[in-house]
Amino acid sequence: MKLILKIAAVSAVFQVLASNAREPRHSGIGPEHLPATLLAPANDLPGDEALAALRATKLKVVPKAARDFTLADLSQFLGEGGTSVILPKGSVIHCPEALTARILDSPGGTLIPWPEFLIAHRNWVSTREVATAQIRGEAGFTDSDRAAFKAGGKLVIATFRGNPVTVLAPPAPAVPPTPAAPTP
Amino acid sequence: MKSFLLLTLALALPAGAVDFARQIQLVHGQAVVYDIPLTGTTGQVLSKPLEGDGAILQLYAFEDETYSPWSLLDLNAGNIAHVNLALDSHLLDLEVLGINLDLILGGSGTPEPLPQLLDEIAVGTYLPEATITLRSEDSYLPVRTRADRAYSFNVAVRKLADPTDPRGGITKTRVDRDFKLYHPQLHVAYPDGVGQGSYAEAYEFNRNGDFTDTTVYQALPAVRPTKAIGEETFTARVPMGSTGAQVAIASGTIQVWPVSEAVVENIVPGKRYIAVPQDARVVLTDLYPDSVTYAHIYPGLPELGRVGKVIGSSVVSYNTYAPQNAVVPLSVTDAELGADGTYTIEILTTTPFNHRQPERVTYVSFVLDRTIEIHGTLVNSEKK
Repeated sequence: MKLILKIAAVSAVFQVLASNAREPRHSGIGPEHLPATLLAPANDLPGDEALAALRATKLKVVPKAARDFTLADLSQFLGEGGTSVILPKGSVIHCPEALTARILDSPGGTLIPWPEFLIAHRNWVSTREVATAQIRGEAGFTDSDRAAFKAGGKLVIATFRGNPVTVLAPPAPAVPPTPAAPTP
Repeated sequence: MKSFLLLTLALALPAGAVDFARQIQLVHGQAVVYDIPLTGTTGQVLSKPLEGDGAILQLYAFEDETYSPWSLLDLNAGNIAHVNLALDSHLLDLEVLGINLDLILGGSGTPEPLPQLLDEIAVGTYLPEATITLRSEDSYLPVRTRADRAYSFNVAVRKLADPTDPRGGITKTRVDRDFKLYHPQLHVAYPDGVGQGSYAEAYEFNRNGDFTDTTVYQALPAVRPTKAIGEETFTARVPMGSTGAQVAIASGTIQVWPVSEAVVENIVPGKRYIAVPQDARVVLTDLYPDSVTYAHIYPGLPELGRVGKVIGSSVVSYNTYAPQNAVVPLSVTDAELGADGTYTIEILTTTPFNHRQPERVTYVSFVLDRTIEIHGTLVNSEKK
């Protein structure tokens, strides 16, 4: 008896839930898709003149303003053999003489995502994890770093947590201010 | 000061996965770019520490030629391919596109194989914040409306600096309104920036608070305003960093779908019929993506506000993303009709607008006359 009561209670809960959840209306053809209650039409669909009258002022159309941060301006591309990749501008930190032709200003061939490109071109592309200070241009690379890049013989892309990033050039060493001429 | 920024990238886009997020930071007036590859359509990105003036986050997607409706167009020779040729040359074909513009809208002249910018937002400790909300009577997402219905625009502006504050800061934000026209059959934006532009009017806000305009009509440059198809975007921008480059801090987009039309075929208005013609049908175009459309018939002349007998064969329902076309038969048996006389067939459509009360699309009246008159003479020839 108790079991029957339990089953009845559970089914009652499910029925309530089912009635609360609104079944999404389906696309289809046939009278079964009619609204539950048929109302009389209230108005005609507006014509072009009626709508033009509603929109009292006609807005002037101008070409879209150029963006300040465009994709191409802040990007540089690497490419070889029909595929290329988009990278942040300034992310190439070392490029051997022989590979300079593979740095492009615009995409050459099909653009593919960076992780795929790196896997396909590991023979000439490598990455180097950089510190925040290096990204900000507050610290440069050491001489041993440069020697390692050179010895590797590959193009080196700066990464931060595994993703390509711009590395700003460290500011030129500050010229000591010339002492002001003593005023008589 | 170091703070981590957790971004939730939730995209309300019908197709196309985001392929990478680009973070642009200004450090000493120079742009530092950080690309984060992404997979899937939703996800979270833990950004690197934010320092300096702020950061711009952009979402990009590579165009997938397999799914692009434009590559399908190229396959189909003939009329549509001609349209595509016209688009490639960036000359808008007035008849085909229904645009009364003399200027060439957008477009760089060469097809750009670059990834497409999907969304952009600038964040920073000293940047104002804004939220733009567009709403129509239709609760569907992405937000959409019908060309003849007004929608509401709301912008909530926060953290604008007081102009009298000696520490300075950004004191105003500018909201621009852009548009993108869609292809009337494919229901997508034209490639390579064609059919895009801005409206000359812009709003400027120099106080914090919520600002609302409840009645905004779409202003897409279409020859027939009811047939406008495209999207309108409101973007709030502020100058960032020492360069004063305009960056977006909020944006909102609404899709505009055309008003539907119907043509009753094979019933001539006012003509006498002995029954509703077998081949009578309705050609429906640009039905709203969420709509139920049907024909009903009642005795008498056309009169708005009557409830007639629904013609079962004509009921067509849609609950989808883009406008739809349909051709439905008008099958009315003799038993469904009453006495002879004038009858009217009306095409009605119910949409989320008007509280789902039907709106009349078109109507036709005809005369039902089942009396068969035989004109003849009875001749009786009798031989006498």
